[in-house]
Amino acid sequence: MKKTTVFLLLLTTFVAGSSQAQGMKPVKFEEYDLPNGLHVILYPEHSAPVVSTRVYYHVGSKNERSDRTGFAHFFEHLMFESTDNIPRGSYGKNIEAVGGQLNAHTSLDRTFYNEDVPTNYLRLALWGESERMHFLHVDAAGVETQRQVVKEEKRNRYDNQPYGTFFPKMMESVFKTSQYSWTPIGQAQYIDQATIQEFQDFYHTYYVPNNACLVVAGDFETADAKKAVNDYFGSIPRGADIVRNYTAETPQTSERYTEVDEKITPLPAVAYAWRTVPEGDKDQYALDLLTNVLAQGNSSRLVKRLQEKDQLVVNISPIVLSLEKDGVFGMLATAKAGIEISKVRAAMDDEISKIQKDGISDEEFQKVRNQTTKDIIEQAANTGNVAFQLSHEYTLFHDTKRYNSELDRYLAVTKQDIQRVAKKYLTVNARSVIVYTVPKTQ
Amino acid sequence: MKKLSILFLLMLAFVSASIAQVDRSQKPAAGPVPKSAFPPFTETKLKNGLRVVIVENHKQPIVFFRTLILSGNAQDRQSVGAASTVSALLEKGTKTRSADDIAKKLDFYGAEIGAGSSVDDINVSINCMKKDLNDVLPIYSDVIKNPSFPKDEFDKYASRTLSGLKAAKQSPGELGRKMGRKLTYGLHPYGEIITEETVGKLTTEMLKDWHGVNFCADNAIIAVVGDVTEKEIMPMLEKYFGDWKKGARVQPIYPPLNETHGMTISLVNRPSSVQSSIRLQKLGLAATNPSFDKASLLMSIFAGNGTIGFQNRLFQNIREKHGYTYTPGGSLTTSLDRGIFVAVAEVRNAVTDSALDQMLLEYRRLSSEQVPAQELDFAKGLITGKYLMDLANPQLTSAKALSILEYGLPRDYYSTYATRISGFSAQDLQQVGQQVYSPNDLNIIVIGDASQVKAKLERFGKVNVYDLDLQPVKFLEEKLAPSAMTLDQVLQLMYKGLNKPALEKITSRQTEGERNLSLTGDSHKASLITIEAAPNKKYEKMDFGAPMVMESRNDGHHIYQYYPGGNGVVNPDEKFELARTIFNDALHLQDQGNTVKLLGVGNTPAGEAYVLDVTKGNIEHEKWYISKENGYIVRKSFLSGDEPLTSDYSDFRPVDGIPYPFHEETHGAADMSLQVSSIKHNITVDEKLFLKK
Repeated sequence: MKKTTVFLLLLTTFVAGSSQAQGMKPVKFEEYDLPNGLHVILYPEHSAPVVSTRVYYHVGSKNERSDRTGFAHFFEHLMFESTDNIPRGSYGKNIEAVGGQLNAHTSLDRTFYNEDVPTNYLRLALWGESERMHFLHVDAAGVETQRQVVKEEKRNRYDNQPYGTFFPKMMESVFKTSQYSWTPIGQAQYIDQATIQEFQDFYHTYYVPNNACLVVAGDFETADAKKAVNDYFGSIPRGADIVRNYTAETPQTSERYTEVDEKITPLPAVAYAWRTVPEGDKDQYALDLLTNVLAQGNSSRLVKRLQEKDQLVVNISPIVLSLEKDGVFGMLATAKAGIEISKVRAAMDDEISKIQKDGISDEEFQKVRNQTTKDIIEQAANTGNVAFQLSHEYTLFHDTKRYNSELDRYLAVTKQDIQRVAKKYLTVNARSVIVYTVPKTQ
Repeated sequence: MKKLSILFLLMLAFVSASIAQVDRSQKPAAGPVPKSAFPPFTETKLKNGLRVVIVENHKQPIVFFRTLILSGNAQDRQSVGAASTVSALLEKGTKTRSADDIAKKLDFYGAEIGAGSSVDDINVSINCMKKDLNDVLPIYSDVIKNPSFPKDEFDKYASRTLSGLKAAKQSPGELGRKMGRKLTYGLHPYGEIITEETVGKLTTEMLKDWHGVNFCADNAIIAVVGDVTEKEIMPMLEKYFGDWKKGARVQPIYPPLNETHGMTISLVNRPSSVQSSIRLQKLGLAATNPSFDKASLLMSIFAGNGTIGFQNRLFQNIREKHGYTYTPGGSLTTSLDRGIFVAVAEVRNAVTDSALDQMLLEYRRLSSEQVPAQELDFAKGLITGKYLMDLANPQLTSAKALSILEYGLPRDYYSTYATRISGFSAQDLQQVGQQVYSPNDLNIIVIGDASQVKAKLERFGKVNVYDLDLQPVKFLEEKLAPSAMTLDQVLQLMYKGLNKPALEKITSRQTEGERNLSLTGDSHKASLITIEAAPNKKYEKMDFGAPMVMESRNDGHHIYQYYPGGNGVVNPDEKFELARTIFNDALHLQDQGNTVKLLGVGNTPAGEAYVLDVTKGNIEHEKWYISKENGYIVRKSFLSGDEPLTSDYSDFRPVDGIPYPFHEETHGAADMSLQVSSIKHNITVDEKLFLKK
């Protein structure tokens, strides 16, 4: 008895500073593969009578041909069209009619589909997801409808929004050789040019069980869920192995400058962006904390300096992009009317060089650790979010339990690490500068 | 090891192959409805009377607090806007901490305070890591107990409120909400409206007083949701809230509410709106009313009740079937005293009346018919489903637990919610529909361009026009389009419509019919006889049933009136009426003493019409509307005297070849209608009828 206590004490000392000491409770799940290659993760969590499904396909815009950009995102839309057993217009209604909610998202690396339903509708959610995994109608009617919807989305969210083109412009500047140089929204003309056969080929290549991870999370009995998963997904045939071509980015040797003139730009804006490291790299965690120090929240350095003290900008926000093969770090500042961009840049340069030279204070260090801890734990309290993260860890690292130690990796970052990555990555030669100018009044 | 996993895979393949194929063509049926899992909660108290509700949730080490002050906007009384301002300024400084200190400290722990007010209460919430409780709770309790309401922060907030009010005057949603509250609640404290004037009157002293009276331990409840046990959290609450002064439970005393009775149409004139925002509104139910859940289910069927649904009747009808609007919606609000029923749709100007027709039709179905079984099942599935989904959100759960205490709902109100809803029958709902959604008791509020939509609305009843300050507009400046015809051409058109050659041969006329007079919502019927003779004599008798008989005798010089208690009284305001009375006046508009001008083209319920400005005997001022289509006089506005009146004419039928309107609707000082049953020409007139008895 005594021995155990001593042992426990030692253990506690040993893990101090780890997530358990901070109190994050590890998530317990089980996982297995169906014979067709579908990876299944079950995360029972009974605090509410709700069940969430996440289907994570390992396909994003970086899997597209450079003359067929926009395909992955287009498929996200097509997946709400019809299947063998679900008529057009019914997919969403089936879920919404029982009080549930559903959505989907496409990034450069993956496309995922989420559904949250009252627990007695688990089979309904699984049925729908299995239908569109293999029985989707990729036909002229659906393609034509979604062509219009996607074009409308591009117009509304990108072309007609001030700074809506920023993300594509930034990626074009930071990446020159890799498939990350374009973004999911893509170019509208490629969707128009593509034949139905091409859409079908894309579907049969990437929407296969061996390229997907299914998570069932929430209030269910494991045996029931396993049976339901097998009932609906078990008979879907395995697809061909996927050949993934990725062209690594060649290092940047001098600063890149882009000026964007758009009629709808209301205020001048400037962004800095640097290529960093892939998700999971040790430096990623230090860079994330550096983002918080620099531009997250009202007490961050850039907000305090540029927005409050010098009154140069309307707002300044961080850019942080963790990708499977690479990463981006940066910030975007919208200047106040009449303020010269050079002044904004001078203040940004000054704050960055201060960190490179002097590092950060103990208080700042503790603050960003606190904030990050709270963020991660808050997300861990949200079952749907955990479900997504589990599928993400599995797909990128084939190591689902990595999720439970994510906070540890942030807490392992030292003050010195933060200063070190600021010096290592935020250099002038590796920088992309993107400037939005305001149209001259006639 | 490797071998084992291969074996395992093979086994799995075998197992899956052996399972019979599931029928994919069938949408899977629902599993049994989960036993409603509303989390158990503990209710306890601090020594100073502060009530505490604890909902344990040990998923992750975070804790959420929501403090409810049991006084809200309805307690503002003499200091309108105090409650909402108090809630907004809590974290802007306390007796010992500046706004900056508070913000910095909370940011350090990643904690954020949220606060807001409703008619019944103020809520103040925060969430933090369990390990930071002893750092965050001192700040959280300080902003609740000791706010200092610094003058500079107060001024900043007031100026933000003023610019918000300015913007709200252009927002159809805000205008509708305010107009609705004014009509539904009148002088009841729920009817409070914040204006530039009330903002100007508010002082920091008032806020301190308001806070002093209402922010007391025994007038508050604190809910704790998260990774704590009662044993852990109570000492902390005692430490940080134990010294909160006791006051007295502030019992809200609300004056009785007037039932929404009859139909009103209010048009808030927002010139050059391209859309009308139509709002049906009436008094709803108190949260504790036993019919509340049934009325609420019915509301979901009607208009979705607070969520955008695609299956509710308004959506199906006015969006899907008619395409009048993008997203109609509605709700039945929850409050201590009676809340409101409201349904809203934004529609194009041109379809304002057609959309209102459909909204009224759907509204009336709530009381006139039973909900079909399939539709009812669907609605129950949606509501219970949403209820179950909400249980995944601890913040919502805390608000629900608090509402049990705040409103005095049964303790098992939420744990039995899903089963209770599932048990309601179509008969139950119709019964409640008849009580709560009575078909002809409704305030109709339209926010739109009066010049475009007022005429369209007039067929629903008298339209009261308001300006953007929600003040009544007595007479609306009409926007008229220029006329392509000259005055002379319009008069010719009118003569054609009147069949002038036939009319010129008429020298006397007897009209009989039924008049409907509505006064303060009650309607009175009378039989009416009018006898007119050239050049300007008129006899009129209205019989409401003995002894309520009214006579009026106009001999061309005076008007004598007879009614119970009045025998031959001369109408004191007869000058306008005398000037107005000209036999076959349409043929005499250009006689000496009268003038007629063409103003332009306007809208009437009968369509586009040329508008004539008419004066008779130099004092009586009228506007006549000549239908573009057929030359009929479809409307007259009588503008002289204190109370303008407008009459709309319809149901034209020929009598001896002369088209007469057999129906007349009059709005203004009085609302009345006339349905003519017969018209006779060139009768034998007893001249004595026009003379004093």
